[in-house]
Amino acid sequence: MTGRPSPDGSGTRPAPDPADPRARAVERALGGRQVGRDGVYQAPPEPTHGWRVSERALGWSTVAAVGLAAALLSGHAWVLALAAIPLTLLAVSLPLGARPQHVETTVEVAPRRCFEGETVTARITVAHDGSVGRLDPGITPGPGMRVDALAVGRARIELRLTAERWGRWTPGTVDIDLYDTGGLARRTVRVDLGEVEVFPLPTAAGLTPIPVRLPTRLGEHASPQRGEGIEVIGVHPYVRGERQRRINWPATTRRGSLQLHQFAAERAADTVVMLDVFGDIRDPVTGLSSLDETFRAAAGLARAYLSTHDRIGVVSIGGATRWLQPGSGDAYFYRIVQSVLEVRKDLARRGTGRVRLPPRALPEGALIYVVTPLADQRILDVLHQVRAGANPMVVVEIPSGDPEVEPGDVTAEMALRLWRANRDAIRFALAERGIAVIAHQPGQTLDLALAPLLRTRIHGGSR
Amino acid sequence: MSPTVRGRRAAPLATRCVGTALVVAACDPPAALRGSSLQPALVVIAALLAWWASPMIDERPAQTSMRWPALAARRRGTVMAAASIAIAAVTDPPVWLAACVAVLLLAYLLLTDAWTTGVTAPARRPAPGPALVTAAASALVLLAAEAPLSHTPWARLAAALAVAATVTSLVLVLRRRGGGAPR
Repeated sequence: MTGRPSPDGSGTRPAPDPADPRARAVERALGGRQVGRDGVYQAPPEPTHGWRVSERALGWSTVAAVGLAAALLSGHAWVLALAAIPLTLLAVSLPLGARPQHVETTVEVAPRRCFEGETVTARITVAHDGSVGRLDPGITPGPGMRVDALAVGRARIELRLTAERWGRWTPGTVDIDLYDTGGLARRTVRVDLGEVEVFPLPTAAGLTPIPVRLPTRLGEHASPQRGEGIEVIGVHPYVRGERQRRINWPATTRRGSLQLHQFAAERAADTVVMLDVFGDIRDPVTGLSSLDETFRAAAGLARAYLSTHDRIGVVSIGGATRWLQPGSGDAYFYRIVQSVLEVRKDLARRGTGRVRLPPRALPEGALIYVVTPLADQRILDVLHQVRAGANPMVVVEIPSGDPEVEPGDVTAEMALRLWRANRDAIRFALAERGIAVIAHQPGQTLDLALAPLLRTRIHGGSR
Repeated sequence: MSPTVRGRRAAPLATRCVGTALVVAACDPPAALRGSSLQPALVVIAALLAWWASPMIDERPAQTSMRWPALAARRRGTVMAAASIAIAAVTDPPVWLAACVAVLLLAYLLLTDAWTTGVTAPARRPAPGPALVTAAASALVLLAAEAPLSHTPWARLAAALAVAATVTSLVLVLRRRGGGAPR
């Protein structure tokens, strides 16, 4: 199978089916675009303004010129008959109407916010004076965007794109070639499709482990403290003024005095998801990006905790530190994601200095999830800072795959063993400090990784 | 499968056949067979090159590379058509073969015209008018070239008439069409 590299660099775009004109039209519109080192299409230089000769006119003119030259040089008059063919074709293709001088374009992109895998439709309307023979769009899709379909009308172009990767992207730019009615001259207009926000598809998750201590805020989790919930945690002697319907008759009979049910308080948990944006590691086997999987797992956690009316915040570390204080409500999910959508741009300007966590980003007693591939040593420093705040903490490890080693390369095999031993040592050191480390496998539900945490409540450290 | 799709799938084979026939006809095969043993081999090589080069290149006019090999590969259809004219001028085939070359050249240029047969071209059938006008013009020039007037006193008159007809046709075409800026 032949094809061009796909924009995410994970493989190749399959060659279009020759029998499917729509697929060939998309392939043609993508033609001539250079794919950069990061697997992203590079837009061609800004097109020149004004009319210029089309390839049709250029080809026929070349053949005519060669014919005339051959006739002159050879001295055979009949060769002029061959030169007359492209010349006559050029003459009969001259445009019938005036070429447009003023061209305006209108862009509609819907929706501007979507999740990964959803479709974005872009409609471009071209208004002009004079006569136009045909529109010929050339598309440079934005990073994380795939062109699925292209429909070209007389003054309208419709693109159907699929958002493949989360982020704040431009859907792309479109260079529209306007041809005159004979197809002998063209003029190019560049159209920018603006920006869309692509939210990560949250990993499926339903379990919400909670810490031992919960803040005094009404919620759905039963806390060890006495309260007005529905979970019975014991009995206590009747105190004047308490509700009689709570009398526990078996205990009253046994003890000989009135005993009442004692209920647990129901509290909401404060949770913060910390994202490791120190680097983006591509799994050599599966091609998955550790940053993509980090975000999907974090989005799954955020959605699970928000669905149980807990408060959840986010902190991204690496490059610029971005954070959002814990909040609740379904709409808060989108605020969380929007606050960290641009972290991919931070990869270019990550420093080597020490990362300082903003104190207000980590509320006291909040459960901290650190989603990380454990590949950068600086994350250990961050973990120590979190641990120093006595917050209960869970490290969600995103697998980044082993580096590729060529068979027979003894040095590389030794380096791979050392690399694995280093990672094992990191996990061991974290476990020794009482930090729970769970491994999330991309494609699986987060509940599989979170389930062991439900056996007991998560303890915090000591200051 | 719709007739349009079937037609477009069959187009590369037809284009290859017409392109190869054009180059072979331009090589004047009867003369090549009578010549040295090298000439038929050259015809075969030319035919093989034509088979490779003749399919239509239906790509957007995007600037990819300015290197000559890349440009020649991208515009190999045009190069092949121009080369066939040059070969025909060198081999100087008989009139019937020259007429065949003209017909094949017209067919090849029309078959490889992405404006009318490319993937983004309208689905309607191309109008036969331009092809008929072009064939008529080429036939007229061929007949005028082969007319036995070159060594007679009528030669200058015929040449003057041809020039006048050409200028008149150009003026008529440019005045009727034009395609300039709106006034």
